[in-house]
Amino acid sequence: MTRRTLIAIRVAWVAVTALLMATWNEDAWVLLLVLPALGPILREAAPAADLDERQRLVDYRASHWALAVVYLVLFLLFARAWFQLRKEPPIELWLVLLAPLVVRTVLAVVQGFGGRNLAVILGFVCGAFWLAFSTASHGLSPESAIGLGIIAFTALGIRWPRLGGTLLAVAAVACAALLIPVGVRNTGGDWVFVAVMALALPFPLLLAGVGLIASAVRASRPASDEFGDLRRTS
Amino acid sequence: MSVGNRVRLHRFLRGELNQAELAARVGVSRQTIVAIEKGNYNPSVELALRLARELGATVEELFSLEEMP
Repeated sequence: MTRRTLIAIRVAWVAVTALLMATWNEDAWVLLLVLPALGPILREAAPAADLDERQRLVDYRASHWALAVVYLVLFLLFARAWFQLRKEPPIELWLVLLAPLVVRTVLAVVQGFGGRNLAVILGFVCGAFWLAFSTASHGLSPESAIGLGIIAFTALGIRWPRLGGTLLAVAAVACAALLIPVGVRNTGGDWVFVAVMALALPFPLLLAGVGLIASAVRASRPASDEFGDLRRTS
Repeated sequence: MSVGNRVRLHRFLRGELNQAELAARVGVSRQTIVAIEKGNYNPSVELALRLARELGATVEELFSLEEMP
């Protein structure tokens, strides 16, 4: 991606939000809360190919300053809510506070561990979780094969990350397609329960799959500079 | 210790090669060459090697450690 593409993605996000607000629901503005988290994700997942090493360094530093400014404004808004208005800040403010923290923490962990290592750990944990859960409730049954399959796909991903990642992503989509309709039917459309169910298995599986594929794509690219490439070297 | 550089000198020794042309040859922006010459940015090893190749010098001739006053 180029710098212009990355800017275009952000502008498109704002435009779509404005469109949704105008045509659907005013509360769609909450989509803007994703923007502070979107920047760092885009920067790590698809670094602008047309930036040289110094420009990436400047871009990275600018993002820290932008975050500092956002948190200064947040500090003022929280202080106003607590000390002047004497009421709890709205939930959106908490989201703005937490989203960049969570994203940056996850990205720091990914950079520290290495994306591939983290994806493999996630895949094994998901498989073991499923296996333990199905064995505890039904004993060894055909359902246990799903857990074993996830573990096998993850093991494949260690040697062949594109293949293992693709299989895990497909398994995630299949799990979502199977589990979500069953969850909706059993709970009478309780979306909170369904969301928790989706977050418990399909989402981490998808993350593991995408993580493996992304690490393979990243590894196939030549290191462009010492700063912009944070791959582990050992 | 700081890193001193003689990129500008070697640029002129190479027939007054201008910053934009050198930038294009090593694959960075002109502002990056400006920052390097001013000592505001220390290039990576890879970029230092590319600069040395384009300027017909060694990395040690372009960059050196200097005592801070």
